[in-house]
Amino acid sequence: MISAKILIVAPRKDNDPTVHTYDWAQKALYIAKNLGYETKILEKDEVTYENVTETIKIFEPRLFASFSHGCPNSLQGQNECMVTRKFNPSELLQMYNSNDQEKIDVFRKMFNPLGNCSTVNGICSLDDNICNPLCTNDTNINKLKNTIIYATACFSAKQLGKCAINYGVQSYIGFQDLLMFPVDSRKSQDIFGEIQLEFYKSLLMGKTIEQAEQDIIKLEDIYIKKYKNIKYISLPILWNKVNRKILGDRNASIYK
Amino acid sequence: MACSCNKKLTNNTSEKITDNKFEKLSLDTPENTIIMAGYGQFTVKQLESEIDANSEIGKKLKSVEDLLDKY
Repeated sequence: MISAKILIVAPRKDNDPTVHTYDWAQKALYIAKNLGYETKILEKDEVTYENVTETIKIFEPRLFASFSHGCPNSLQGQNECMVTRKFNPSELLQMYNSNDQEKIDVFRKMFNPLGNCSTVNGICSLDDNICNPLCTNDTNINKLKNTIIYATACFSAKQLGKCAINYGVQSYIGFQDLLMFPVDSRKSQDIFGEIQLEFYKSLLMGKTIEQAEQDIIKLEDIYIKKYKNIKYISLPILWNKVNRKILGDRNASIYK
Repeated sequence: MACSCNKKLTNNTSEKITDNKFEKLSLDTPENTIIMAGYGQFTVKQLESEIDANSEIGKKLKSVEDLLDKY
């Protein structure tokens, strides 16, 4: 039997959530290798649009796992979008002028992912946000046809995930809103890494998307109950649970 | 094969629960806790302000907070 191939992408920037998602990606690599999968990782400066596109083409992964930033219509590499569905100006104009609240929301999130905030200190200043301006690289989500995409990243299920399924991606697991997690000196962030890797690990154990979802829900519920009274542990876990979105074939597994 | 990558966490997570609805804001002090949310990095105080101000993210947080009561 031919072993399924796993491609992991892990950008990393200092003082950024990717410091932590990068660590999660390293654990994902360890798990996949230990289970005997042929695994490739693109990390840090290797995570460019060109490199990712070329690697997808040559390596032909069964599972594409992204531990990165995300926007409604793209997954972000080190300094640019790496997986995207490009929108042309007329499509954007249609989205802007739409009466459909969902489409308007996607459009707005492209430019202002956090929405309007009341607090200051620059938390809503997105000058360095590579979601803003729009990703202009050509569509490459179609190169992932027949794969499973596991996106530990914000927003991408909102639009990119839907496009992915239309382009023949078998299943897309991502978030329709922000991915949220606390970081503190007690390493609460590791709990969140463990939870995100639970789904991935179940997939690698040969379970279906549906079964893997049940596994992650079970773990989330354990932690939510355990830390119910510790607000900024339980609340982000529940936030991520509520905003996780599974699109496409729920009966898919890494071997079918 | 099972993964043992987070073994140290389970040793690090026991926390005394009191009768207060929320004992502490995280496993650390609020001052030492940052909430990562996409490209934004919120302090606990800022997120609480967002909830109080009923901003877009504050409203969403509040609605999820309400769901916590089911657990």
